Amino acid sequence: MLKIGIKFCGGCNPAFDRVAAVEKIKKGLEGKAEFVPLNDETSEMVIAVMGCGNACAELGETREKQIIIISDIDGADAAIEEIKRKQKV
Amino acid sequence: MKTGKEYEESLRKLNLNVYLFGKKVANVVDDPIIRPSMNAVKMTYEMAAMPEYEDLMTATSHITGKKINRFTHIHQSTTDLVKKTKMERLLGAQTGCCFQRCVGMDAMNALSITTFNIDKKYGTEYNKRFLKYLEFVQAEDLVCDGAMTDPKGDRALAPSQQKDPDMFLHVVEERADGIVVTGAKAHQTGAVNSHEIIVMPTISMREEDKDYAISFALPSDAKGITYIYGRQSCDTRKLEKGLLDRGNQIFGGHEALVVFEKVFVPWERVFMYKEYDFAGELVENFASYHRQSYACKVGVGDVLIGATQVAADYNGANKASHVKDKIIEMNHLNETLFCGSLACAEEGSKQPSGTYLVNVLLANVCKQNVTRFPYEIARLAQDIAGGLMVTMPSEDDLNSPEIGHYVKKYFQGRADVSTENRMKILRLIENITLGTAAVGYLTESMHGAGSPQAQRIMIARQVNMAEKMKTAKKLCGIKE
Repeated sequence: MLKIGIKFCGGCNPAFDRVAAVEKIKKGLEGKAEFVPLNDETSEMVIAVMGCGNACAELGETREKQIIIISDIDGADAAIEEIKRKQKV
Repeated sequence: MKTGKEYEESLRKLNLNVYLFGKKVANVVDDPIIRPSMNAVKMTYEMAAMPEYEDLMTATSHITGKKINRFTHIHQSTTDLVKKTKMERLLGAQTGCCFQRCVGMDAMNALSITTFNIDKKYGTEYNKRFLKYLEFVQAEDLVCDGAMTDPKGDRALAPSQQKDPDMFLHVVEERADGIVVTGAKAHQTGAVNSHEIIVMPTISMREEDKDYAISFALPSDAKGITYIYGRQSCDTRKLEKGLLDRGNQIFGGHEALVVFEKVFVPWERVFMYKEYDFAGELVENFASYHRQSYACKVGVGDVLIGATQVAADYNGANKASHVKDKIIEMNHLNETLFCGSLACAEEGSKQPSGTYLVNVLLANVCKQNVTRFPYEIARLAQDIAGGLMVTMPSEDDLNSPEIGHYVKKYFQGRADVSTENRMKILRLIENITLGTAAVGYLTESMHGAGSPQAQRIMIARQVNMAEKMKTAKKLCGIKE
């Protein structure tokens, strides 16, 4: 199963509920992906959840991995679709 | 890093000499007046452990390379400075009050610069001492009170000219193993929630004031230190059994007068000793960092604007065009404050010590706006909330079997909103604009990190007026 880490920005003034967006993604990928701590070396992908378009979270620690960035609530649905599509390929 | 629980337990081990309402406080952590302020500081620990906040709440130590709480970090880039601003807004919004921990961070960053500069001029070893102390603070994840403001006595007189020499904290004895100091620091935010006190001089000094040009750090429960807790408007509501009338039911801030009566400081904790020519630099750098730190008021503004919108909704007034416009104005003012804090961070620069300092001019502009805008935001909040905010009965009246039904009936706003909820949101607005949290949101915005005139002096000193005049003359053809 695909292992995914979650990286949040710090959330100083988020334009959407970042935690709710992650819950939506987890639900949308239930049975298709396993969500692991960010520092889990076995993860292949990181979803970076940015509270606004500035997308200021530092991604240095995730450099080696495939990264999907979401910066609005619609990004959650797009991330689910993208991950599902990749899994089919 | 410590957890919130570990922070609370660490405070219980301190033996602080705290006085409140004329009596010594036996249990500081659980005292109902003090407890909400501890809750606010505790959030700086709890949020550092939460994935959704850690990008702002934590940093990497430039000394050890370890992950640390950002409140113990020395800024290594403008990105660090920007993250500091964002962290402060975040915490202000999460607590709705002063979370008290920024002042120690600002003191440590200022000292990281000035100790280096003193050593360069005089060949002293203050920076080495300071870095050792910093490593300890980072490893133990401590809260430090940054203590600058002396009582100051007669404002027309220098420290050495005061009738009472203790009006500014000063050295009274020099020993082989350290120094002995006497004096006081006033308005000390978060003092009784702190593990350490970092003392700095409060003004620029001349040679005759050199006994006052001292900086050092001590454990907050060092022998000879006494805390006299500051009153706040509506503070005794925290002694009532209900929660509704408190407005903010969880968090608060505090200040205290900290008295030093012949307190011993070992040399390894002394970071400035009679180098009077660096007192002004330390004050200015600390003040600049701390003027940036008022991004916290943007976070509290977020809460107040949110509360005002809710009150308007509950009153059924949310669609009125003037209400909408006033809320736009509140947001405009609040985001302008954020702009100032972000700008001084983004325009920061590297100092000889390696520490990044905010742009001093922009930090002063930021704080100058903070002395004004929260008052206007509060005025608009009170305008929209309506007079009921200050005339409504108590929670006990709401719950009274005899008259509670009158309160529920006559203070009902929209039919689908309970009177209790309407009262709760109005109490929160009251709390921020004239209750316990107004200490932080309004008067602290006025005087904290320096009163308005202090920023105007700095603005006058920092702007390049000659260049502005030169440009103006050039464009209109003046040749002199």
